[in-house]
Amino acid sequence: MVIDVRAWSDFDALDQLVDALWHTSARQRPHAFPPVNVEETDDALLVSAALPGVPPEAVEVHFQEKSLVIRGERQAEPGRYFRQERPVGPFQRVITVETPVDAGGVRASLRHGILTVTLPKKAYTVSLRRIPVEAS
Amino acid sequence: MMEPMPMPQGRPATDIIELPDAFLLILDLPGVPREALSVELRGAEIVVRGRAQLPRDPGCKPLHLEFGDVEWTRTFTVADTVAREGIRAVFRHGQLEVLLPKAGQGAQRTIPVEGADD
Repeated sequence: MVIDVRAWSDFDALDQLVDALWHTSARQRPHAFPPVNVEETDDALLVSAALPGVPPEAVEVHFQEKSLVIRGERQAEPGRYFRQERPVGPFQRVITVETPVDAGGVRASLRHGILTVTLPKKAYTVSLRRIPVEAS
Repeated sequence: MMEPMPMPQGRPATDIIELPDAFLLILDLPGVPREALSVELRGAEIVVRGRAQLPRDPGCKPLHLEFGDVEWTRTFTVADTVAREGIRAVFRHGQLEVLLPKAGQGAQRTIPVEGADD
């Protein structure tokens, strides 16, 4: 038998419980899975998602129009559960990207349970042309 | 000189599962590299610590953040029904699995009864 001794003995757990009750009463999902970060550099957008325990073959990344879709499935381990805190089952997050992106250059990598998607910004070549002004 | 900001503390989401011949702990530790993870058996306690420090480009501007750097810590008490010398841990894709084999019931033996015949 294994006992999680800190389950009810710290204030973090109490805060989480209050937070969970608050969200439940508001009929909101407390946390979307996977959690996602969006960051920006001069030449790319970086989207990262925490996907612990998900191998690369169990996650799909699609980019179409302005939507980045991250989807997959986390399998549950068979057995008799004494405690279940990890979300399992199918998951999907859709991130709307307003910045023009070079769709052909989108890359994804998975390391230490963090998926990182790099979306290069579309480079525009600005050509300056003088418009002749005609006298009417 | 400014002191570095202390890293936020967190409790990793954990499943505790009973299998036919063992107990299995599964902990989510995303962003923790192998060298920043420790699993220690201290007497009857298993202490798991992991440091998730996400790589960040100095020129990177955050637009929307739902997770970040964290120092994960969680402690579990192991009962005598676990064979402690057989505990094994596997860390893969930011997920730690600790297998705790159940101790055997012990060989059955007959206890001799002493005493003279009446």
